[in-house]
Amino acid sequence: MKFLSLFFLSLFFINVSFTQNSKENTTIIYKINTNNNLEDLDMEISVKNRIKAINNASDLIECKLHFNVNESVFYQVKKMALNNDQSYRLASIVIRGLYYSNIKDSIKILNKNFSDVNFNVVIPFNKLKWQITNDTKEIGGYKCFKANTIESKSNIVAWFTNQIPVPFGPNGIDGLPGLILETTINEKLTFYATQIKYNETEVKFLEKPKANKTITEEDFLKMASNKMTDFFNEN
Amino acid sequence: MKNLSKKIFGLACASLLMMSMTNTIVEEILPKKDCIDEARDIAFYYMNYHGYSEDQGAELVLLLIQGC
Repeated sequence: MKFLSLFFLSLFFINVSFTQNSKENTTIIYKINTNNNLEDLDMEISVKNRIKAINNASDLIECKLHFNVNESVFYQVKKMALNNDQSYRLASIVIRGLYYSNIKDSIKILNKNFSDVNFNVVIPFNKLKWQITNDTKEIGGYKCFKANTIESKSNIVAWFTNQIPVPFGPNGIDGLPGLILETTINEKLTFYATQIKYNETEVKFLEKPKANKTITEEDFLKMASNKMTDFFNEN
Repeated sequence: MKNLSKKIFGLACASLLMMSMTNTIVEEILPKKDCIDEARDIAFYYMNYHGYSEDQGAELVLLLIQGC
């Protein structure tokens, strides 16, 4: 295990030093896949059907991750034609907001609208703790290593490649010594890369987002939790 | 006798009106309650199985109950 960690660390530094002067932007397109097996769950049929409809709509979601050696931004691509589709709007909640990361300043921010306020939610940098395994698989021609989260609320599996040595990934899942090309949460929800575009000239949002209010993630979650509790108490 | 008939008719009308009002209230409240329970079940499913955070759970509930 110690050897494996050293191996990845050395690969990471070799690759970073190799690409350090590069200011080039790269874009990854991610799509979503959901596991629709709800048979074992004790729920009303109407609830299961609603969940299946939402899951099916998530196939239409497309996300972009732009990054250079220092910064990244992840967001959902807007699809105007689906704005009035209720299932698509519900499915879109899976993308929590716009994530911005800056390695040099150790910043990770989630920019999102909540209760009619635009927030910058400050997330602890490198919050996810990973255990890297020896398992490998190839994704789009890149050799990927498997990693699992430890001490995490959800069971997250990620496949990352050190051939692209940046610690970024989709929907705030990051912190590995290589780009995450695929990640699965609780064996139910998968983000997978479908396209990689190098030397992108037109890249949007690759800067710290502006917001009306800045808040820590802890306080933000407390606020959201209170809002939900209040709602159920009132109804 | 005439007065008594009037009173009985009045009572019958009032009870009919109350019965119809109660039915309307029950019809309106029960589906709303079902709908809110359904929204809660859906939100908890996504929080438990898809790793949604509290803010995502709240957003789901609020959007789901818009259709109730």
